[in-house]
Amino acid sequence: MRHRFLPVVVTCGFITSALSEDLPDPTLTFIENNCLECHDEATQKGEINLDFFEVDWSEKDSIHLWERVLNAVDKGEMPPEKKPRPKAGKQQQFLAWLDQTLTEHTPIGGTLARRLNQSEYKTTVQKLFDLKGFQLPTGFPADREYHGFDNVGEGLVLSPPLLQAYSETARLVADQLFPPPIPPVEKQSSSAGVDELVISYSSGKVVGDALRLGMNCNPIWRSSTWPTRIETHAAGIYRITVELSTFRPAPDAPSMIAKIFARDLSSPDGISKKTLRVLKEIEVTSESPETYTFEAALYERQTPVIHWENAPFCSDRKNESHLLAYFEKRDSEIPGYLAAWNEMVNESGGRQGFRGGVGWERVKKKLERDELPEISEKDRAKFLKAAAGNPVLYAETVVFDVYDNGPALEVHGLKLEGPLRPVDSPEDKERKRLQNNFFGEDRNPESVIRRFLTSAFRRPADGETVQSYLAMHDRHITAGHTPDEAMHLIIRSALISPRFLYRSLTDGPLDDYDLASRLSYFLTGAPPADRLIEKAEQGKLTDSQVLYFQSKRLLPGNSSAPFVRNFTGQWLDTRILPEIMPDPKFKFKTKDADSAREEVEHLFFEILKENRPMTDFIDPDFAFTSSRLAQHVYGLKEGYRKGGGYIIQRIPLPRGGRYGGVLGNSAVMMATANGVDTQPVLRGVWVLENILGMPPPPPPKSVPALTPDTRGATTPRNLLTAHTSDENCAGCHKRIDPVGFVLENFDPVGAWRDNWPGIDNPIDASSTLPDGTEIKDIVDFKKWLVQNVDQFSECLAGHLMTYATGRVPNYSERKEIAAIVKANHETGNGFRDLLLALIQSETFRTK
Amino acid sequence: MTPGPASRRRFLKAAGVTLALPALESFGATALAGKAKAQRLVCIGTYLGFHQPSFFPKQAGKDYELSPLLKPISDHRDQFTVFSGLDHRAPNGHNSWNNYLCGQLPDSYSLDQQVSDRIGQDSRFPSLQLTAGKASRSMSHTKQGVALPMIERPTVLYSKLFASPEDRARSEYILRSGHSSLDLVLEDAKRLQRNVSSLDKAKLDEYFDSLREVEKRMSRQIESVDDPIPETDYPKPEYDPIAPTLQLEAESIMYDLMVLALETESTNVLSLFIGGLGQVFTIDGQTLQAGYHALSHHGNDPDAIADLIRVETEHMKRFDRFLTQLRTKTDANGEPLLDSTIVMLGTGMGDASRHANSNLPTLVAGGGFNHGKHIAVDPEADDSPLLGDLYISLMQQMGIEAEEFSNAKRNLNHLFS
Repeated sequence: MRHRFLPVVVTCGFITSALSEDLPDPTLTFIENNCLECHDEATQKGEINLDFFEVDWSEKDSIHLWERVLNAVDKGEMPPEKKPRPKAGKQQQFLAWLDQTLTEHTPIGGTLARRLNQSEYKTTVQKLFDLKGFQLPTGFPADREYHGFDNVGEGLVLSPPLLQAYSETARLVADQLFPPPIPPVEKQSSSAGVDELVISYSSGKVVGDALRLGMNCNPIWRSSTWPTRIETHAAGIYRITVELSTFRPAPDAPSMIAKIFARDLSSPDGISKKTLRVLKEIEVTSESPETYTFEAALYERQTPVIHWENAPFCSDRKNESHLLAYFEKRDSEIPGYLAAWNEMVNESGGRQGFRGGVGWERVKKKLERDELPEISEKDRAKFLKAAAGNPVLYAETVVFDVYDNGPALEVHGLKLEGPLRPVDSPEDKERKRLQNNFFGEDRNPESVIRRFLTSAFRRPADGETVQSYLAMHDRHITAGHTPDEAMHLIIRSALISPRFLYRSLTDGPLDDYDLASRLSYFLTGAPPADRLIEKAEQGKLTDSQVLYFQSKRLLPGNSSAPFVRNFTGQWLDTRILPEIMPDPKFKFKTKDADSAREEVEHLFFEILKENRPMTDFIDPDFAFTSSRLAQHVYGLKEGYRKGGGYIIQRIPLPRGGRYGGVLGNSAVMMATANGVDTQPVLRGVWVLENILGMPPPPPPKSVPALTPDTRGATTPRNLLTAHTSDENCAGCHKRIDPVGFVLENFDPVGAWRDNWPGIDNPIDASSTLPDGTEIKDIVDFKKWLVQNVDQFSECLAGHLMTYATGRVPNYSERKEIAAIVKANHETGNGFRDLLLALIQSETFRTK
Repeated sequence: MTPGPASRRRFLKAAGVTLALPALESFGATALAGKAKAQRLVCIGTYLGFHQPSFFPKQAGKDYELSPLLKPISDHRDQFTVFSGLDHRAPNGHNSWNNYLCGQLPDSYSLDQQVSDRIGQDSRFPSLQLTAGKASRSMSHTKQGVALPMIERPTVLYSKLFASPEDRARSEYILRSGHSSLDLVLEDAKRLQRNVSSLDKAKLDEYFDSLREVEKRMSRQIESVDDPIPETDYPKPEYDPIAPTLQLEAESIMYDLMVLALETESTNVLSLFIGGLGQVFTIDGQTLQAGYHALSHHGNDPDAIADLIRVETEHMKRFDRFLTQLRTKTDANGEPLLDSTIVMLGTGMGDASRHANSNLPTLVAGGGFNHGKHIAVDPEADDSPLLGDLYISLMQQMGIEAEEFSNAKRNLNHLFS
């Protein structure tokens, strides 16, 4: 005998409030007749309790519970097959009541105040000050994901360390515009002797009182020298003196040109000379040392670099002709030259131990013997081929011959005096640009503050707010600080204001400014730019036509745009790839994973840009891949451009195949596995959540996780039959397992496999979908998805809406989305059309 | 000036004035449970590793004969343990060098940061990352996997440790003005809160709570702004030895400053990267025939190996001076610093000549362990321990209840006894 207990929402654990509504009699009767045998207070099968007289519809948990009821009854999953069917009329009546009640109690809107997430914050600071290179300081606290996205109000909490980080970052930004005063720098006069010059790899050799340079190549650490202990302390004009001479210049060659560059001592030593600023070119013609003095601008912490610009010998990786010509020339001058080299290299066992001066010393010894060695034509060709194959290695050794015998440029020393007078460094110029941006035309403090706060807060700053900032500004100056320091303080304050840190603060339909922000952060990941703000100022953005054109204008222009990258990365979880380390047996490198992620981004972008039908997400007639993945993962023999490594290319693909679309690519298969093995349940849940839009409830607490036992020749399939045989599990696993097993043919990096690893049993990927459709593999499943594409479209649209609005769509909103999907299907089913229609929806346009 | 143990904390507190961002985690710091044997951790990593046959002793156990590269630190024989056969089973190549402190998955939460997040939070600097030579790879990684930048210039480290009057005046100005602006921000936020929905009101409470905490923190810092900061007789370096050929000089100064950082309790966690690129060293007045990186690709050529060992011996001589200083200088209780400081010398590259990241040369000194042995692990044996197991022991020695590190889930405590 069942008892009707007091109406208590047991799952929540508190007594219903005054907001509760009585359930109407027909509903109570329908529930009593069809549900309560299993779902009464005492039994609560599957932890579902429907034993109520009244419901508090303001409780999220109640809404979720009754939505599940509606879905289960509507799809015929409940009551279960073996129980009697409800009468059709009664069921219809029950469902209609439930739909109406849920719609009534889930008004559209309700996004919580959204704090800018990490990437929005970074971009917003960049745009606000035009600080293109601005990056978050190391250690900046990370955001949390909520419902799969990192821009949902609920997940974007604010903690003391985060606000402290905002405050600290605000100071760093303010310092960029108004840096602290720099104490005056004393004049310096420093000299570097020959033993105080850098030698790196084989860039030079000290012989007597000179450092000889003999090579001309781009990375300065292989060709040039600079003083070890001299750098400037301030930007200015300096007097630079270098002492140079030539060593055995080639008789018919043009004069030696020494080029003097400026470099930051903190920059990488392997920097290319092409990126360095030229200070002076000097023609060196004397074999005895001569001093050359000139004046040039050096910025803070720089030093001069000396390079022999027209050295004939070069150690470029891609240019072995100098090296081969040098060998030929020397062999014609010195009998046995190549033979000695060949012997030396052979004695090293083909390894690299002779690198640098070591090898040349050995060659010299061989050449000093009375009997000169001989070399056959065959060995000669073989030797030159080996040298051409590794020009850097050989040049590093041969150049020691150059140092001994010339021609070489000799550096005897360098002197630096200054600063003679100050100059504007690039940093100074950049700061002035930033300040000009900040101040604008009208430098009156009140105008500056009003304009700045309006852009920082993304809507016109009200009078009271402006006045309070102005008052602080004036007080600061009265207290004896400079106007720049007062603006420094204004910036530091505004950047920790909630008006800057949060968006979506006004209830109801979005006004022009909030709509501009929502649209802009959604499609560009950045705050609204001038053109959009202009529309908002004119009050036009809320006009559907204007909104449509502005949305279209802001659509991403390439596959690495923030919208494409951030949305696909979170919808398809490809963002987690860097955290997965595939087992070495898959031979899958970090670059492979990057390339796999890019494939998905290109796919998404192509479908959006070309307004391709939604079915192309499932079974397109094209794919984006790199030749590396095409060969290594997809096992393609042809149909793509070979070579090119990781460069993404668009290739044609026959429809109806294993690969292609969001379910047939490496990135998704990798993201849904763990790098070592696959777990059909995890993949199944993933498909339900991200492709079918029917996330299963969390597993009941009473059920222990299955521990796979791989002893014996049992397959994962056998192991998991418990899921579908146990009634407690079957409810959900009947949905989860089929769509998980159908992906079993994809290994943890997405490559096709026919057998389960380790046990050599063929993979059985066949299943029965919840609607009774029998499928035997991924190809069948994709066919089913194409036929039922609206379900996928609703799922994707729901995810897009979550990403755009920062809230998970509720019952009413999902109804609106479903209607948009349906209408879009009837007019071509293009993805871009769908996206633009979603932006027009009430769901998008309500806070 | 040498403060007594009681004044020492106060003497050093001052400094909090320059807020290093990583310090922010201190809001949720876990306190160290009880008094652990080791209070400090120093991790030194050489980019090109060590020539293995010259580093590993030939015999295992206590009576091993010092290998050529251990000879420079022979004075400390009973103060260190040398390990062979340990690694993280990480991928090979220069790109994975940071497996040294990160474990099997390069770029993940590094040992020093795990330790700093647990025991470093009350220090002026929860941790410091330094490099001698260009930091061509990352070494320390946050919990989120972010590579921490390393200080390359000794003068920058010096200014951090011993702030100049100008630096302090600036910090005080930033604190006081920032504190005064909080009132404005608070008033404005309250005005804003009046006009939002009840759900958003609750959401904005997060903001108000945070603002109050930040305000308290600033007040505390303002109070301590006049506290004395550490002083030292050690002169500020006149130039930064950051030219490639001066790397060994940079190494010496960095070690000196590291000792000062530990002695003044400015930090408890240090990491030092020892670079290795093309630089051609001049040792004892003689310029080597090839750059350091070229020498590491010795291909078993005896001449190249001889030069490589000369460079590596120079590293060991500097390491010896570091250990000597840590044994001479004392902590607040008058005990040698080394006794409560774990110093690990290691690398993420086992054999640079082959770019292999297995069998990583590793040495642990100090920290209150029983030292004096060469512990030789057979990596081929079933169930053989991992380098991560050693790291678990190191963390436990510092009072951290660590159960796992990367792919390791045991410890090597039994081998130290």
